[in-house]
Amino acid sequence: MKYEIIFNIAGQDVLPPTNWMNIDIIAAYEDSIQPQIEIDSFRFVNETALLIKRWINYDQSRSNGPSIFDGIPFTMQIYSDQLQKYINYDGILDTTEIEFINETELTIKIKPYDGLEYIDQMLQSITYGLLAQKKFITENDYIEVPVIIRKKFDGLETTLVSVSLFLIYDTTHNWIKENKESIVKTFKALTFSTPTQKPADLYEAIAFAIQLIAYTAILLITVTNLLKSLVKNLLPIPVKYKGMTLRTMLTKAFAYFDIDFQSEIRELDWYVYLPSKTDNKIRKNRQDEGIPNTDDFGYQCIEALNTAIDLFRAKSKMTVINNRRTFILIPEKSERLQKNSGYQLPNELLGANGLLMEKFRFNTDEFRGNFILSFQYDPADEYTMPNEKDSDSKQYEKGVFYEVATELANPIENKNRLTKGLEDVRIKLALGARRNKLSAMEYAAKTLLMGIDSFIKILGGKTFNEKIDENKGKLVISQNSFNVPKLVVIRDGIIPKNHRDLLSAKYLYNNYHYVRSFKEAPEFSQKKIYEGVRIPFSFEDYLKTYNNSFFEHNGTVMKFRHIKWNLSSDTAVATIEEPFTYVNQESLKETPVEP
Amino acid sequence: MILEQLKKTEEQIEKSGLSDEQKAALKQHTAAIKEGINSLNSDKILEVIKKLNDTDIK
Repeated sequence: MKYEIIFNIAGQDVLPPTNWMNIDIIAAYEDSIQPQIEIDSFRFVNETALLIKRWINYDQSRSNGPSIFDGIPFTMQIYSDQLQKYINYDGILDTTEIEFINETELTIKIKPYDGLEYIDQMLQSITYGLLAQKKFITENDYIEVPVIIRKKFDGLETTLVSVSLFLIYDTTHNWIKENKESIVKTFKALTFSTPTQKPADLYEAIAFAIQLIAYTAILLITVTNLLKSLVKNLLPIPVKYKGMTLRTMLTKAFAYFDIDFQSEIRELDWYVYLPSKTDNKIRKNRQDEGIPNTDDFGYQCIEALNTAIDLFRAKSKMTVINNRRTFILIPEKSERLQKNSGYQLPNELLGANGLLMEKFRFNTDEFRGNFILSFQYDPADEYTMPNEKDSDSKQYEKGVFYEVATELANPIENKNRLTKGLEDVRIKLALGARRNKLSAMEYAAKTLLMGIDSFIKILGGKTFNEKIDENKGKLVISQNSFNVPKLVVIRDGIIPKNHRDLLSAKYLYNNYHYVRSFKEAPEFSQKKIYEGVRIPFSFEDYLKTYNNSFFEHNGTVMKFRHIKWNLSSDTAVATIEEPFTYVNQESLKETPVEP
Repeated sequence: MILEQLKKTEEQIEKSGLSDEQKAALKQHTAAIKEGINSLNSDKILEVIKKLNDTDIK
């Protein structure tokens, strides 16, 4: 036995599990930098079994203290000859996975504190409703999203209203023009009145002039007020909805478990999750909150994490930074830039040609003949539905979907083609539509406002400010409720003009998902896979590779995919991948498809 | 434009040979019209018309 191991349960040193020599630890790195760990159950007997039984208190001999849902603190102190010191492995005995063999014997699973599987399960158990109720999310965590509600008018409706508005404006304007001349004439008469004019006549003349002015003013005021009220009803209603940035959502979810969240992904700060808006009467959460609705995708905290993983093709990792447990989200494109584990592959594993080994396969099973990234349509919001005749809808449609088909550039024979398979990334959110330009109705209203201004000029007051243009940069929706939560870019309080360049299916492909391309990114996508490689492996190696599956070998960054290690053994069986371009980029052809 | 006309009317009232009482009565009306215009309140101006109609000019 190479190691001396001290087992400690709930602060007490205990005898080792009876099966510890046969315990296998499997580290599977497929979807993460850090592995999903599967450890065989530990078999404890006698006093140790009793200690565990007392902890879970299944006979309820205690009225307080730990129960079966409180994991038992567990430490393995393993002495390393190489490092000349004990190394701690901290975790918990998972009391929910316990099996009683007999009175004095039981088996139980252990789980690392920072295991990803553990984190996933924890996030599954909480929702944003719970976080808001427990004040983990407060008003300060919300971002205000400026929104205008602008019904899409049909052509006939728009034409009728426009013609009516024109008639009101034209008739009134002509009336003013005619009466303006009468007023001027009256004033001229007054100004050039003769000195012999009687005071009573003069008083009457002035009183008549005042009455004329009064009549004109009343007409103008009435028409102005009428038009203003008409315009108010026609113009979009500006409102503010509340949402949260993806970073805030994730930070808050992890904070609930006293875990910090870190990510280099800058879009997490720009992308704002806007919960669906149902009718006030049936809205399940409070109107003033920016948390997802209970039936929104994203209400469960694990859904928010999975959305971020899908959007940015990200991998996850738990580590300890400044004594704080920290969850890190890293895009696949930059995971290799992380500091590698420092694991050294022994030279004796190299083949005669100096390469890692002679037996390998290529990762052709990971090739996909097509890739689709899509957001959702929302029938409740006309701006997020396809409409050939409408440029706003067309723009939405363009952002919501992106497809890249990969084929052989020059197939020898079509029937022999082996480019197959699909990777389908469906984001269960809709995108937002930006209010970019005036609708036909707004153009009509804008003309009308100019008319109102001209009336106000005649009255002599301050002109009515044109407010239509103030709505640029807001999220536009067709009615005050929508069913699918949206993801919108908010910068400096508005949706930037180039928001589709910052958030669309195509943007996400070109900036994050491209690494899957066998043509454009062979350095990421094409690999040699070495399976069943028996490697010398120690507990130090386990700790090195636990947080980072990458290691450098002869200047090449390689990656462990899978390690099966027996706790008492000096060796492990591993699957290793090595970047290796085996398909010429020229022999593949990619066809992007946009709606 | 209407406010300008009101101003001119007030100047005309001032220059006219009307009694101080008559001048004050007429100026009260012009002031009410101005106020109505500024607040886009036609009721105030209607009041002026009503009062002028009711005035017994001697």
